[in-house]
Amino acid sequence: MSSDPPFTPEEETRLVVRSKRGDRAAFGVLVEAYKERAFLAALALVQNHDDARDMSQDAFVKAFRALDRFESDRPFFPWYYRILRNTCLSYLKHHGRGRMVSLDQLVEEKHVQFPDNRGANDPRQQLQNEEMTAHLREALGKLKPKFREIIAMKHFEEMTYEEIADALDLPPGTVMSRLFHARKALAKLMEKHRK
Amino acid sequence: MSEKQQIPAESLMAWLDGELPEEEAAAFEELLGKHPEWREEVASMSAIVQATSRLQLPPPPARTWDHYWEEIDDRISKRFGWGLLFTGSMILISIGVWKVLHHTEDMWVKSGLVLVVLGVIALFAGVLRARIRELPHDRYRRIRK
Repeated sequence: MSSDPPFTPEEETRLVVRSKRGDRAAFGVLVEAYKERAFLAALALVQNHDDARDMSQDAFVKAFRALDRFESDRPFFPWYYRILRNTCLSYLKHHGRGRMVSLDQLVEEKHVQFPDNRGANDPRQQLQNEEMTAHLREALGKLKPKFREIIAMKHFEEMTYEEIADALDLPPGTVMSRLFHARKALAKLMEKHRK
Repeated sequence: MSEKQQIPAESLMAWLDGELPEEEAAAFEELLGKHPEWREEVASMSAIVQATSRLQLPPPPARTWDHYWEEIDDRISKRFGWGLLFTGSMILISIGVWKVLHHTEDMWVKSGLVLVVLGVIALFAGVLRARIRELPHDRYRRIRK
């Protein structure tokens, strides 16, 4: 879903260059292409639908104003994500987490349709999957914020390591090791739930 | 006594997420074959990756996109408008101060202008003070746009 770039890098660069010259229509095309990803990324951080909409819009406004500082040949979304993250964290700092819904209550299981009914024929496997999903959702809600964030970026926003590194301003090696520790912590929490 | 070799965490993540180039993936799989003691950890991580991949944030309700871009466009215009208004006001105030100081003897005009200037300075100082007070506690000040 989200990691498929909506444009070729050249098309995106052209849109960014036009936006930098003040072409709002070009910026509108960028917004249209990335709005869903932006909304979901904000939702993972502020955990409230209305705030996520507002924050993602606010970050687009800030991005438009900061375009002069953006290198046109870089991918737009990781740069935008940094602004969005900053916007969301600053909002949470000033407004608290009162309106938040726990992430484990927000996430849902993907409804994957298997063309050949794989999996659907094995109720035991299905039950096992459902049980694991339930444990996982619970464990997600208990993860440290920085671990929850990287899990959300990888799985809900489907960002590549390179995009995550760019967005969090971290070396790719740190992204991988943080992901390792996040998953390890998840496994540990799930183990606890199972007992 | 040799210490038990740890599984290379970074390679394991990249391998599970399909981000390892083909050759490196083959080399890593070979390495895994040589370390049966890693099997349990690989299976546990693999299960976590698979289970997490089955979860998603639900798509936003359709009304989320009503006037989404129009509102952004509107906010951009407003900020531009405020910017122009602020710059214009500063220019007018500066010219006004200069003219009043050099060409007007009317005390009411002078007093009014002094109050406007003091008001602007007080507001600016208030914003600046709040920012300075907040800065040492701002955990996110290093986050670059």
